[in-house]
Amino acid sequence: MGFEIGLIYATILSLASSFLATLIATPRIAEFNKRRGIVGVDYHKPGRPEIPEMGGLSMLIGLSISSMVILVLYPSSFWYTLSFILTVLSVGCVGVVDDLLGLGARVKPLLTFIAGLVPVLLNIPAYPKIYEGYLSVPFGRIRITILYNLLLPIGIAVSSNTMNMCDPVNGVMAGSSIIISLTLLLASLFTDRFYASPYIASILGCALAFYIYNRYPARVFPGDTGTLSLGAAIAYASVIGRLEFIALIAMLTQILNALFTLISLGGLIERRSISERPVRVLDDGRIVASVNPQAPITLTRMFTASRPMSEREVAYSFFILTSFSCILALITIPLIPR
Amino acid sequence: MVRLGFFLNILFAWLLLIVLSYLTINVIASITIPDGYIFKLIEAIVKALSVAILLALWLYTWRRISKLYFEKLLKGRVSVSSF
Repeated sequence: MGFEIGLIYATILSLASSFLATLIATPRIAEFNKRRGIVGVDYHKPGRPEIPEMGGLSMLIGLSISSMVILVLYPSSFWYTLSFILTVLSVGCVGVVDDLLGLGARVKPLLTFIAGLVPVLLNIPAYPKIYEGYLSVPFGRIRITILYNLLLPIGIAVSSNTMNMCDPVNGVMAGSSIIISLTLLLASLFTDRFYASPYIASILGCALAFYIYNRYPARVFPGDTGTLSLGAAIAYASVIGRLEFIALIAMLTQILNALFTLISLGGLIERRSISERPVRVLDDGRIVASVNPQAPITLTRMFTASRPMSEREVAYSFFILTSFSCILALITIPLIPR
Repeated sequence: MVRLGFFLNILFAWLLLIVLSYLTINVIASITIPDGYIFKLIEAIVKALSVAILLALWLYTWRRISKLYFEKLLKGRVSVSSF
């Protein structure tokens, strides 16, 4: 599969359909959730306003519609598309349950791991196979046919939970997803794996549309529904395109932020049960690092340790670091054999 | 806006991953045990364990280096003693 015309149409239309569907659905879902009291507190604003939660449902709608578009325009991608949307929806369901009922810190990664088994199960009847069990890394390819079946759900669980942990201020998750998916789109182009581009484009489309509502000052929060499903979508799109290592490097900022937090907390602890917040808000709305040694170490806390920063500045700092890791990801491409 | 130390932290993690990948391809992948089902299984386990050890080393080195320079970068404003 090279640059077939169907693929190019599928990429453009999947981007457009995903963008439009998310753009239209987000304010309606936000309004619906607000009426039903599904709201979250915006801790970083003076007065701590309540913002509609679980807006990430609109991204699931966007990704579902764009998947249908891909199927219509590029029917030979049936197994890729089916596994992509079922994986994202399964992880999205975990997010919905977490947003509505609240899941334990250990249960959430476990459930996302189980949701990540969807493509492993679908690979059994799939023809041609969705994945062959090769991992493309710098300097060569590793054949791990059996181990890959275990690494795939682990990768999906890690990516979705990492994204979930890296949404500290308005717009960071959606903005970072735009940068990462744009990088993966370029990587699919440079590595002649353009067949993954419709899926990456659908992520880019829904992240772009959601960012409009989620950027500072946020009118809607993605909730775990949005963060978990977008993380899973990025991970699985990179599996389809055999861009796993590129995606790993592109997500280094989010991965290191998660590692900082996990190491400082001494393991998996649910966000709601952390008594000390990593940052506090000054009267003028600027964010400053907590001096309490019990507070978790996060990138936001380290950014604001030198001087108080506005919420916008913190978000831009995340975008700058994510862009840097994405540049490193693009530099890595020539090291990976085709 | 973003201090140099954060870029260096990511750069260092990236370099370590490249080294890890090089070692996996050129050292671990070349481990071979004579033919036979049980030997192939042992070979796969040895390879998986070697990669796991390398990943643990990656995490350990990154943690130590992070602690060293974040202590300097943050000058005690945020305690990184848990690293």
